[in-house]
Amino acid sequence: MSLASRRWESAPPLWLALAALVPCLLIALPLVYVALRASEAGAAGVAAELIRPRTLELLLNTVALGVSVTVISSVLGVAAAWCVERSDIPFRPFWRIAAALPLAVPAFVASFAWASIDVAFQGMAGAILILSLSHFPLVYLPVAAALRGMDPAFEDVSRSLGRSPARTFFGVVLPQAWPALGAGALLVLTHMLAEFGALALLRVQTFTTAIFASYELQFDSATAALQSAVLLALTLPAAFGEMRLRRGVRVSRSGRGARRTQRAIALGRAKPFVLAGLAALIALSTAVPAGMLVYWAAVGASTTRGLPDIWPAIGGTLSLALPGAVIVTALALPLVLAAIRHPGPASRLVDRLPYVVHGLPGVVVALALTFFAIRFLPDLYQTSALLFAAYAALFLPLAQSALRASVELAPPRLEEVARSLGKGPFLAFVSVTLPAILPGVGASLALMTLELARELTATLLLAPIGVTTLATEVWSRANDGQYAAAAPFAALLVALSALPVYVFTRRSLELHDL
Amino acid sequence: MTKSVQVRDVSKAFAGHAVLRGVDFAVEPGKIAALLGPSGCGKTTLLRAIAGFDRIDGGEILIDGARVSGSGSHLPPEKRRVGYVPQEGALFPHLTVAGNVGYGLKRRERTRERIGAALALVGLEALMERYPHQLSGGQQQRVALARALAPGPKLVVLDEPFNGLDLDLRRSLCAEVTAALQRAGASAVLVTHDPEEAFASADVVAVMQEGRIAQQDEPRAVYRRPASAAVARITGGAIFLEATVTGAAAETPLGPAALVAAPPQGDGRASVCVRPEQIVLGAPGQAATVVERSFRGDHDLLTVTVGERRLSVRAPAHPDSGLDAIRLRIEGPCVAFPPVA
Repeated sequence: MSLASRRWESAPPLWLALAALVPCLLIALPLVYVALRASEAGAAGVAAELIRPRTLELLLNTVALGVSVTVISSVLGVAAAWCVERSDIPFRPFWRIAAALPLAVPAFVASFAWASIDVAFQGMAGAILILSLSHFPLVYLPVAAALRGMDPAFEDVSRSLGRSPARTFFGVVLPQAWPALGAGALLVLTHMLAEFGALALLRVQTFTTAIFASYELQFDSATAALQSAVLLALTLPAAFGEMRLRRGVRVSRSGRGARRTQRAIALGRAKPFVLAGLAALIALSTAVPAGMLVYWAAVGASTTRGLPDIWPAIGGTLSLALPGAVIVTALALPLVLAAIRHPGPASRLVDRLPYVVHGLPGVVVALALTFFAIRFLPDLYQTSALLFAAYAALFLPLAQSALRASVELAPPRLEEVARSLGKGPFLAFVSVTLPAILPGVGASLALMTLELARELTATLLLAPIGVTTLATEVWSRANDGQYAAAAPFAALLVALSALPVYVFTRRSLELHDL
Repeated sequence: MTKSVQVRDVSKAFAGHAVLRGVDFAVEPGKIAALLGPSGCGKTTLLRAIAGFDRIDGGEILIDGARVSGSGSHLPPEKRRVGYVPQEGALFPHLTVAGNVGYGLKRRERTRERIGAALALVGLEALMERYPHQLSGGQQQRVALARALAPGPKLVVLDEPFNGLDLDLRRSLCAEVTAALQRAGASAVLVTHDPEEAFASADVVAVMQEGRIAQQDEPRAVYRRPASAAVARITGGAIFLEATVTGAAAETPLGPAALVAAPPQGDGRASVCVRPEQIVLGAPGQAATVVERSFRGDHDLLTVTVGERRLSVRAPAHPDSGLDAIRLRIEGPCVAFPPVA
């Protein structure tokens, strides 16, 4: 009897099935688009499009960039995490936040800042340097959290068995941080495969910039579609891998015993060098771009160019980011409720699928949405609706993780009590659960608004004609080499980004202290 | 003879708070010593100082006669060859049982035979390919011991190794661990707050209290002749009775009691420590009134009053749970301490 009722409880209701359609649809769109265009072109057409030196060149560039940036980011991220969490470095609380700050500078802003110093920073080598500097925090944050949460008993045991501190690090610490490192590295890789703005500004030819160029030339181009197919083939395994590893990221702790606090490893004579290295890393990744923005803003202020355009850009940003945040949060809430209230393989997949969609390149998502709108829903073309759909594809996971903590704080027990006191299911949800999760919803809305405000690729491709945002203004001006004109917009973007980065950093690093 | 480990006047403070205040402690080769004490008494700190994880502020520690800590020198843990079994085992989750046990062996020694031999000490040769999460709590602890014993250390330190296991498992595991240590011929220091565990496993029990060793002796001696009222409480149940001492005898509210020795403070008022099992029911004895009889399965727990005094006394389980008058007396020698002020 109790078993039967339990089974009935965990059977997903209809609303859940409907909610699950959203991520499935979002992931299906680009795949179906690519498949449709490929079948239209036919085998000979596909071969003619793909078997060209141009495709090979793009493939080599994309892979070289992705692999190099991932490897360098991983090394920088692990080193920074170790210094901040394990060594006796002075001013640790400052470094802990500072090492995540590069996330506040969108990659395309960092790229234009570096490119404005010297054209030498354009090209593949420059792109690898700049993108590594701006993406290592994606490795640093999870690895730092893993190092912090690790049970020091493992290291004690390793030392007592005769292994030196260095061999203990490679034998025990790193293997346990591996899921966190792997997830972070794959996230960097998916970002690299999807990156567009930075690469366009740095004049590096990869699939994303090529697809964008083909699209600008002719929006329904077979070349763009087939290049998208190759890019998806590169991206999907990385995104799936990240999703799988992310699930495995849990810090292993031995049992319930009291956890001993970590003892910092004395750097000794190496301390000044480590300190200098860390300072150089933060300076190159954050201070140089920020400094260049200030410099160009000062130059721009003396010529007063560009400033009148800032109000339409702010208005455009808000008109897209605010409704976008509401829509994405509303789509994410049922997914989170499903995963927590009705645990099972189906709801787990539905909960995790957006993380794969999130890894899809914005260019491809935008292209697919345009394709379907023109073919089947022409009224939607050139409206904000398409852009909101793209936002959902790209940002659902962010809203999900923002909502998850507060939904977990509103256990179904509360609703059951309300039901036992005579409230119907809907009323019970509205009167008990909703008030409990409202703070989380508010946090998600704020975070999403700020994140959407800095989105470039999908906005550039899908925003209704005449609507500009801070991000698109930065891009178009920087792309024309008008650095002084771009700087005020970029500075505003960076300032807006600081808050979500701070929240994200605190959440990542304190997660395991719960 | 050289001690397996010798701790001399060791002191250690954390953030100005003294945790070890002049500890003297030694273990003979091949013997198992238990460090028994309440939480916060410094026993784990002492263990970590012996293993080399923490530096000491004063005094010295010798392992096999060689100084490893003291006078500003500190041999790092990996050079001490002291096996370490932490709470809950802390098996490396990314390695199999064989990987864990082989971890401390040199590469060329890391053979199936060698690992199997270490696992045989704890009777788990069959589980080599398992991962830690596939083992029960007791198996994890035994593998942790095999891992510590594999490199052949002369000394093993165990930090509350049976914490978090259920009572039956604790008892059987305690016996197995003792046997494995003896088979390996290693000396051991075992930290515990459970007197039963200390008595069952150790050749020598050192009772720690507020950063000092209050008493170090054989288990029976510690239990029968505790050095202080505090040691008596740490090592088991203790009932203190107001008494008048004359020579090696005392007059208590429960009648006369023999003392193990005439107390150093001489005749007069004293506080006599009686172990619960020394209070025996039946005539001849002091009259007592049963106020409450609580059924505890294999025995009954009686709450009795003798004059003004209220006592809890174990009694054989009684089919009818009536309340009545009984007689009590003290059997066996007790220890007298100066009277409580």
